[in-house]
Amino acid sequence: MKTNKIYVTFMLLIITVSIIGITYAHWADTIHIFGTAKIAHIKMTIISYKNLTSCCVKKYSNITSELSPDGHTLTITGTGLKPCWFIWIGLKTQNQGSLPAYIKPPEYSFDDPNGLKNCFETKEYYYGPYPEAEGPANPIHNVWGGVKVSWRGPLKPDGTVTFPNPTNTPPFIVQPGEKVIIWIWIHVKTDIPDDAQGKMLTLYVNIVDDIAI
Amino acid sequence: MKEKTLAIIICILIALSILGFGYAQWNDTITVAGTLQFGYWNSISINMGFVDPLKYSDNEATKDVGQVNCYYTNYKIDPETSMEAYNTTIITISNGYPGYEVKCNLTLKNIGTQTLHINKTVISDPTGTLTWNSTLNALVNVEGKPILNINIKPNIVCNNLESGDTLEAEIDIQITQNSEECHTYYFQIEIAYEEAKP
Repeated sequence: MKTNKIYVTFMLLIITVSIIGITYAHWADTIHIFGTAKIAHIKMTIISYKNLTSCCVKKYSNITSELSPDGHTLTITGTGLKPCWFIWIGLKTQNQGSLPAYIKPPEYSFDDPNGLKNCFETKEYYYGPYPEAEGPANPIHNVWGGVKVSWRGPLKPDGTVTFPNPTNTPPFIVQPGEKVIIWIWIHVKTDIPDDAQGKMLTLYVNIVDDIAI
Repeated sequence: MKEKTLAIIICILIALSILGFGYAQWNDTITVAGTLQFGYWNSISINMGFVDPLKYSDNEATKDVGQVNCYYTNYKIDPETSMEAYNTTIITISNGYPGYEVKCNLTLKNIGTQTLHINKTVISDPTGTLTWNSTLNALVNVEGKPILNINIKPNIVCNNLESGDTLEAEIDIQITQNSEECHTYYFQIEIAYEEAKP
C-alpha cells in the first residue's frame, strides 16, 4: 500500500513536470523588430594642388608644400619673406563623403615665431562645383595645365585672375563626388617689420566644410 | 504483476518526460509554433505576427540623401487558424545623418485562437553598445547622450486583440546630433504578448 502511494506520487510529479513546459509555451511569446542605422559622413578633401609664384619671387624665396595624409591641410613653407612676396595656391577639392557639404572659406594658421601673421593678405576664387568625371567637357579637365603667374593672366601677381569660368561665392553646396577648384592668393603686405624680413614662414591651409542638409 | 504494470507505465512516462525536455533543448525559442503543433489535445494557439499594410517614409521632402527600407521576414502560418503573418520586421536606415527621421507604420495581427494581451515592449541594442533610456525615449551611448530617439505610437502595451484582430502602430526613429559619422547603430524592439486573462 505504501509502495503504491509512492508510485502514484512519483507518477503525478512526472506528469506535472511533463505538462509545465508545454503549458508555458502556450501562454506567452514574442515578436521582434530589428533595425540598423548606418550614419553618413562628410569629407571635403584636397585631391591635388599646385603652388605658383613669379620668377622674381622664386629668385629669393624657396617655397615647398605638403598635403596631409587626410587631404584636409596643405602646409606651405616659404623662406626669405619680404614685402610683395606672394604665392598662388590652387586646390582641387572633392566631396568624398556621402552627404552634401557646404564648402566654406579655408582657414589659415601660421607657425609664426616672427610675428608675421598680420602682414599677410589673402584672396580666394572658387570655381564649381563640377562633376566628378574629368572628361574633356568638364571645365576642370587638365586644370593645372597651362596655368601660370603673369601680368597677362590667368593668375596675376596683384591677386586678380582672368579665368573665363564664372566664380562662385561660399558657402555653397557640393554634392557627393563633385569637385571644386579654389585659387588662393597669399601676399605679404608692404608694412612688414624690419626684423621679420628674410625670415621663414610655415602656413597651414585647412579646408572647411559643413553638412548641407 | 501489478507492480510490473506500474513499473512499465512509469518507464513510459519517464521516457515521455525526457522526450519533452530533449525536444525543448533542441529547439530554442523560435520553435514555439512547432511546439504548439503537438498540442492537438487542446487545439489552442497563442500567436501574433506582422501583416500588411506596411508603410514607411522619411522626413526628406525635396532631397534624397538618407534611405530607409522596411520589410517583414520569417513567414509563419498558424496551424489552428491557418492565418498567415510574419514573425519579424526589419528596418534598415542607410546614409542617415543628424535630424534624419524615419516613420514605419506596421500592423500587428492576432493569428492564433486565443485573445492576446500585449504585456510589454522592450527596446534595446542587441550589440550592447547603446542602452535604452525610457525617460528620454532614446537609445543612449555610454555618456548617456541620446543617439536614436525611438517612439512607438500609439502605446501598444496593454492592448487586447481578439483572434483575427489587427492593431496598427507607428515606429518613429530619429537620428540625433550625437550620432557619429560612419557608425552603424543597431536596435531591437521586442513585443511580448500572452493569452489575455478573462
